[in-house]
Amino acid sequence: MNMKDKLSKLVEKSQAAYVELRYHSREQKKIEIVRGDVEDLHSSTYSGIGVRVLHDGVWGFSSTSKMDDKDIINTIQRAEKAARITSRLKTQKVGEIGDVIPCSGVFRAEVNDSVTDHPIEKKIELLKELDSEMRNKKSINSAKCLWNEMQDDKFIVNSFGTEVEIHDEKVDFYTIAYANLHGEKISGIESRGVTGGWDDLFAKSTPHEMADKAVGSAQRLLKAEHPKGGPAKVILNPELVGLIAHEAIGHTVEADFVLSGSVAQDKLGKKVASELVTLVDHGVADPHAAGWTPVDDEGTLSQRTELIKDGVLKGYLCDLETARVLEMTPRGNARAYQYSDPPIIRMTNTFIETGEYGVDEMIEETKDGYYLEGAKGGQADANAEFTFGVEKAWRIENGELTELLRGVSISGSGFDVLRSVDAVADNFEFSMGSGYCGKFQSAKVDGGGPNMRCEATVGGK
Amino acid sequence: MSKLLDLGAEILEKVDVPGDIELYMGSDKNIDVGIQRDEINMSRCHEKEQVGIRYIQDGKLGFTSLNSLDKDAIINKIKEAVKLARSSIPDKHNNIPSPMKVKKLDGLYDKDIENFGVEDGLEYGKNFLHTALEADDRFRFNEGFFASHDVERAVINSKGIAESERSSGFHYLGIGLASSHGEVSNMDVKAGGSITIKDIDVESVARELVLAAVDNLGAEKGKSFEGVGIFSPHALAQILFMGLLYPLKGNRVVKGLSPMGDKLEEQIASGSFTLIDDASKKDALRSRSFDREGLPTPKMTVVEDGVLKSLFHNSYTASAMETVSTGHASGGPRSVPYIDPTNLVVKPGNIGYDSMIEQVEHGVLINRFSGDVDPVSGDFSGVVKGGHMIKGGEIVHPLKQMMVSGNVFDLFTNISNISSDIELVVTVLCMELPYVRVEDLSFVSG
Repeated sequence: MNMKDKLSKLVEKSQAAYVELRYHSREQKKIEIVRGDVEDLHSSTYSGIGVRVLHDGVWGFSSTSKMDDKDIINTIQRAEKAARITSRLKTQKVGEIGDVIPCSGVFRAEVNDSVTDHPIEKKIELLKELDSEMRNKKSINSAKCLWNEMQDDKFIVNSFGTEVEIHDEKVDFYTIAYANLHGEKISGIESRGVTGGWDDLFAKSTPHEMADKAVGSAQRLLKAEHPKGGPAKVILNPELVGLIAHEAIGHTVEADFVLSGSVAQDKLGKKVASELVTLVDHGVADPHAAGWTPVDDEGTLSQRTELIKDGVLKGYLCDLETARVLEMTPRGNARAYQYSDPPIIRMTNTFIETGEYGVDEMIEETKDGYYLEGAKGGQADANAEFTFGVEKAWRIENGELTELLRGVSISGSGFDVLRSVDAVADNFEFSMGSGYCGKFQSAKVDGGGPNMRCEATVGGK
Repeated sequence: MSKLLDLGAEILEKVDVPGDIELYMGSDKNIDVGIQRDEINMSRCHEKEQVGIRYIQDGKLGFTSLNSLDKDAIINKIKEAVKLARSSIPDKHNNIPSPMKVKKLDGLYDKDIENFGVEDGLEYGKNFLHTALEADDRFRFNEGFFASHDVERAVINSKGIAESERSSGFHYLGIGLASSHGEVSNMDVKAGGSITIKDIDVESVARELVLAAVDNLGAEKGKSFEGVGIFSPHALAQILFMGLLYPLKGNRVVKGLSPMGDKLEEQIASGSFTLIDDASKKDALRSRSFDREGLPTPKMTVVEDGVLKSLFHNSYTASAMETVSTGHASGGPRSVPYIDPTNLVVKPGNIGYDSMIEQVEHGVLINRFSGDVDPVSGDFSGVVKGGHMIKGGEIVHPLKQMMVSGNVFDLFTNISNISSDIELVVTVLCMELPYVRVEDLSFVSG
């Protein structure tokens, strides 16, 4: 009997009001070459079954890496016990999850030239070659290349009759050049992460082009000064637009945060951004976006969620439980990173839709400001206050890019920044794919959009 | 001998490979009670078994891992590690270490954890939640957890290392905010933990969390200036973790990514700054008898009176820098041994926290730092969270949208005072830290 049929039979046998069984197997390979040495060469298998049950309006979760019927049944019983005991304490019960349409089918990532067909020796050779190339360039004293591939197989079955099979392949690739001059050190990073294979990963730039770009960034930043800092007009590149959409706004509209009192709580139907802004989350917006999620881990089919439409807050990101509380429709945002994690509300691919401006036109119109490129990590708060590191910042003076600056970060209140948007460009790119989002567990997400002009506080010396 | 070591020994006896091999095995019985939206949300229980296999042949490294203690599955993964190593590039510093005398620490395991069930976890979770909610009705408990871990870890290698240890741990973390009359404060985070059941103190952490969140209400914008910042123990932990500790790791130095490689015995911080790492600290959450490679982790002075005394090493970086491992190989079965400190202590100063504030004419109290630290250049920039403006020796109001930036290496040389008050900060590391006063910081208001 195959795994899906086996899990379906076990769901049928369970006495609980709702049972969800999720088999998840992940094969992961990682290569890390730093300054010519293999720092990590790793192959891992992590597989098992996550069990979630709903008993008396309360969730219980347990997991096992053992696949015998007896072990799975024990795990279901442990989850039931956890729910039963917890139900004595919980006052706001989940209640009936409602009319859920069962989902079925087989979903496969669109993979062009699977990375599994490329021998590990060839990948090591490529990374070593790139590392060496970068270190041979002027002022570059160290380099790092990182490869991370994941093949996921999932079977999700639940009491609604959902029977889903998902086969996913994701890959991340980083080239980092470290420049050093008179004791001053700086790094330049070029990375990409996609759902798909070799051709999808390198569709926009070859590995050598990426390494060259990382070197160029580090060399230029070595000579760069720090900005003065203060409120400023900024043009964000698609990566930073994605980061704003994800960190500053996306988290505040996750229904669990909304119900906990996030700043988006009372704003549904209200104007929260410039009318130029439409912000969307969609698990299948692009087959190669890194957050590709055709069906979530509760078995809900992904649908496009317009969070902000023409500046007005239109929706929240929900799971089955919060959708019922908020009287909304779940659209595939309950995700679990690995079998031993329960599904929680997560973004998938979060982006701002294109406008009509040309990027050059946007720069030409700006008398005084910054053109910002490349994200170096970000954090945001429930009140939408955010801060992001920015890799490169060009000063804009009288419509022209002038001085390159380093050590820049930007901050602001996400909604204030979106209200200040006065130009949205006609380009578009998903470019956050090499990163992960952390919220008690990891999630592969993507984000992007067009270039966008707005106001934010620039931090510097 | 432990069951894990027995299994490891049986497998090593069975496999016949020309290189050196290390098995790092772990089991974890975990109960986790989740808190969400002012309620106990969900209870979870897991039992995990994992093995990490490191194989080195002629300087070539291969590493595999799996979440099963099935003998045949482990042997198959050993074969895969051997194959991976053959594909790799030789590096003469890759090595599996030989045994060194390990002194076993007492007090790492509370036997009562064997009878600690979901019911017990729920009681502590409930107490954590209710203490917070009852402390102030403006407080909202967004997310949090109470978790117990009954852990056994074992490392066995073909050079003769065979060490195992059981440990218990209770961890609790809360994220919350305060809301009043339509105003939503910054979120704040507090965490705590203990090795034994008797030392669990969810109530203190809950009250600290509420105080921090409520204290953020009524925040006002400040004005940009250059001058004094007082880093709280939590903010100092973030700057230490993201900034200073990275360059002190042997692997960063070996790969040319740290300015600290040639700074041993040189002044790298203010003369009042002393940093110690103590893996044998009594009752401390990160204490252990041996590291990820099975080597002892002696107490180590990292910085003494501002002078750099030692870097953190594992066997690889020790070989590359022609020294001995300091026993700081870290990580679990799912990764090659990396480097991390254990329990960090910054030596307290002589001035009380209140007096330290009284001495500030114009400055900012930084309770948390939310931003980016570049571990290569040392540049940092981010938002002051839970910050307060200090004027004329008094805290005058909470701050919003204030950014702070500077350079981490300059920051530690610009420490002008260290408090005698210290606090325990639990993150991925366990730290006992004071408040520090830092000169010449750049503050930019939004």
